[in-house]
Amino acid sequence: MTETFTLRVNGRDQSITADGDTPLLYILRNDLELNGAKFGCGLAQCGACAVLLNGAEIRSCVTPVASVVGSEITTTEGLGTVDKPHPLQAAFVAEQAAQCGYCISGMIIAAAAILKQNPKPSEEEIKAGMSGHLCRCGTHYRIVRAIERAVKQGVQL
Amino acid sequence: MNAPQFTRRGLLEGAGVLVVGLSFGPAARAATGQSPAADLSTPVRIIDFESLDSWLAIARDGSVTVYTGRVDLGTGTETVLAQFVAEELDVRFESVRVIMGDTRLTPNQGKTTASLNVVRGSQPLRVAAAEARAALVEMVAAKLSLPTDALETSDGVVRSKTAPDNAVSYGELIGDKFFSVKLELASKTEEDISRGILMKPKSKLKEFKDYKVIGKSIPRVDIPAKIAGTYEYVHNVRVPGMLHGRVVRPPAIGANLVSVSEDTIRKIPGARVIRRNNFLGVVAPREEDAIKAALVLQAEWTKSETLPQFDKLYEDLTKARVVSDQLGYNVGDINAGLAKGKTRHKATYDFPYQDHAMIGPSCAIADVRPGQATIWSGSQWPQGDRSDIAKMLGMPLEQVHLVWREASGCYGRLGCDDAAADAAVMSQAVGRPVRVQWMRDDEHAWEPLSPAMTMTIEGAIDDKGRITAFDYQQYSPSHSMGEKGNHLAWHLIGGAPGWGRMSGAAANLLYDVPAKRARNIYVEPWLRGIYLRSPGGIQSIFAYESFIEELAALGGFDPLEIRLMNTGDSRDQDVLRAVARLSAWESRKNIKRDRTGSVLTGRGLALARYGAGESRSALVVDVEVERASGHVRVTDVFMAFDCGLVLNPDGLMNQVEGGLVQGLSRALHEQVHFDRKKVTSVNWLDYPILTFDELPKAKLELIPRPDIAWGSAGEAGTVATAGAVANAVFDATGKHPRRLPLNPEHIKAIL
Repeated sequence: MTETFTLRVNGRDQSITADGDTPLLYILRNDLELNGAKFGCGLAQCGACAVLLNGAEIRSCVTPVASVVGSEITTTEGLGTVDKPHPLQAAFVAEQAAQCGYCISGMIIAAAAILKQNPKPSEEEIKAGMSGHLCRCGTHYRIVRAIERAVKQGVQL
Repeated sequence: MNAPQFTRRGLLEGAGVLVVGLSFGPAARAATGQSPAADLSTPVRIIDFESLDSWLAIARDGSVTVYTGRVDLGTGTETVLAQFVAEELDVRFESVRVIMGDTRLTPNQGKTTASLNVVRGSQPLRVAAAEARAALVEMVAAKLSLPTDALETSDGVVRSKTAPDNAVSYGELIGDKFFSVKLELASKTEEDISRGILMKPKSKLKEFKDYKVIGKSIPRVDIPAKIAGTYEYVHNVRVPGMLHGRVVRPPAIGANLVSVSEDTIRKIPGARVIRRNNFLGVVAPREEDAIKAALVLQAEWTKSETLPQFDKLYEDLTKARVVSDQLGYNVGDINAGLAKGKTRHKATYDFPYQDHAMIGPSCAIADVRPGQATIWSGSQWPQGDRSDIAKMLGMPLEQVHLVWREASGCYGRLGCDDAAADAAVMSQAVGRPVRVQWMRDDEHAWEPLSPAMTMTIEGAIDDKGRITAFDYQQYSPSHSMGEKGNHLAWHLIGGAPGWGRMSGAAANLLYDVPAKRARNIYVEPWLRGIYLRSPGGIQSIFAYESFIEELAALGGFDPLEIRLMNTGDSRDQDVLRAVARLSAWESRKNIKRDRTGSVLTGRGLALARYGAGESRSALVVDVEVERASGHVRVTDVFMAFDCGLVLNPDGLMNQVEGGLVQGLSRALHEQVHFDRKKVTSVNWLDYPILTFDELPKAKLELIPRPDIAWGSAGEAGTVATAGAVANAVFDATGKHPRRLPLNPEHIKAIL
């Protein structure tokens, strides 16, 4: 049944009218026109749709919008912009850690969630933490290097 | 003597027709910017391959716009093409903007395939930029009655060599005006044009040694927006009044639609069924409602069982109806060569059907109205997709406009074109713009799959390890159903003409063999097919390199030694020696092996020469094989790579790393499953790809060849991987795994 919700996305309150069981991903993309989170599988298997919910990673493709009311949702766009990237995003640019880039927004969200829990992860911890995210272009080495760069720079989340 | 003064007024008078308002002005920009709604008012740009103005325009502020029919599939093409133009035109890299794949704005340069973008696709742009530079110099020379060699160019300025302060900018000379310079096509044959046109340069292109922009690791222009989450993918295109569409696929390939119970979706707001012959889809104003409608819609289909039994695939490949039997390389007398050999061997290698498996499933938007259709698609072949869709819709070609927008990395033509046709059929039916997003199972099950292949080699080596005969034969269903003329929707509505082009022939054999033969046998396909990265390359090279390794072991030779002995080519030898150094290679003849432990370790080598420019790669792979489970772990990879002159070192490395990871994934995990009705591997659990926790340590080395023209990058980076991993498993276990992927099931079967 259609209801009206107030969502807090990237620090702003947004009013949304939708079915409560609508996956958050479609609300972000279609109602709020935030294109960072991507549709990849709809099954929480690939990570392209990842966003932060109160600082922890969730898969927005399987998260009902009604369940995130009152929480702080952060998408890639909420971290930084092309002109003012978040230091974590800047590390990805510095390492040129993207090819097609379709997965990369989810990768950055996952990296942000890892660094929030553990600001000094080892290479093995980074790989283990990222292993639920898929990339078809094979950008894995660069993504690991970008996160290591952010770690070295002491990036705060 | 003082150099004559440049007087701007004199220089600029009558310098050509104003461009603004005709085609390069704001309207053209609107058509390529982020405002799809403005598209219908866009004037059609006149595209003439032989006109410089079709390829390149310079604005008054000196900014350069180049137009290319080639597209960037996430590999950095846009950046490298801009580097080429900046180089030949002598402008700053930052001033070049590339418009790609818009059928109203860009010349038809054929398909973006086969790792050929910078090899073939760049050529007309290089020539156009060089001719534009020459025209600007001539313009100044003519006005000042100076010889052209008294002038020089840099940073978008023509200046006197003797009095550098005398300078005039390109923007002042030609800004927003046509050059009206005629270019010359290298060939006008239809085949050459469909492969991507090439130009005959009148002005001299720069010599490699003079390159200043080419060869630099210029950061990619698309990456910052991708990382900020604001890059304009096809998935983000939104058109006013747009509906969301989903396709409903049959429960079996070849099933016909009998009936649809439209009642089943009646409660979903605004949902509608679209049925045309066997095409079935739904649309709804909200995306989640379209998804629900596709899930709950009840339909009845006829029964259909057309696929071979999964576990008899390779056997059936050799029994299927032969469509074409072609001879590839064919040199010398095979029987005489076999007779000369001391060690003779014959083996069969199997390579499975694989998915392109884009992370973002295919998506397209179509706005089909009477007399005008606009399609936004991630197609690798905008002009081919456009002409097919025009025919399918029954519209004249000129009424169909296809706008390319980047999709998810695809590595082979796949569902992007199909989704465009789906959207077109649905939009035509409802008279409103429709966005079709394939779901994950649509992509895994219905994209054109990378065809399976079974390969048999018979060969021999003499007592010194020299190959005396190499007789290769492959069976493959090839490309024959997924090409142009084969959109899924077109088949379902009826009338698709099909397309019989064969692709995926065996790679050339790099070894110097006096008697060698390749037979490429194409059989009738069961599943639509289009190759994933390196058509026929990763398959045949897996077989070649496995066979060489087996011959070496049988004859008592070291894998490195036998390869060095059988190629006299210095580039092959250099990558082999480089990878031997990187990996601290020791002859495998002297290695003491203990094959009784629970974990066996091994090291494999593979060498490849592949693609345009005959790029080279040599790989050494270390593995651990768990005997009980059959699990293979790649622990270390060493790779030496030579693709000629390096255009953008970091960009190239990005491609090579990517090709490596993708190749490892294909070698270890990837295999499409099916039953007699359809594909059954429909998500990432059924069809796993390599994950971060499996990433081996890697050492890569590029060997720059400043004197040799650039070759393929991505495909050449991937072709040797499967062979190298298989050879490492052979080294570890003493049994060669001749069937991919190297998953526990297949490894346990050989142990």
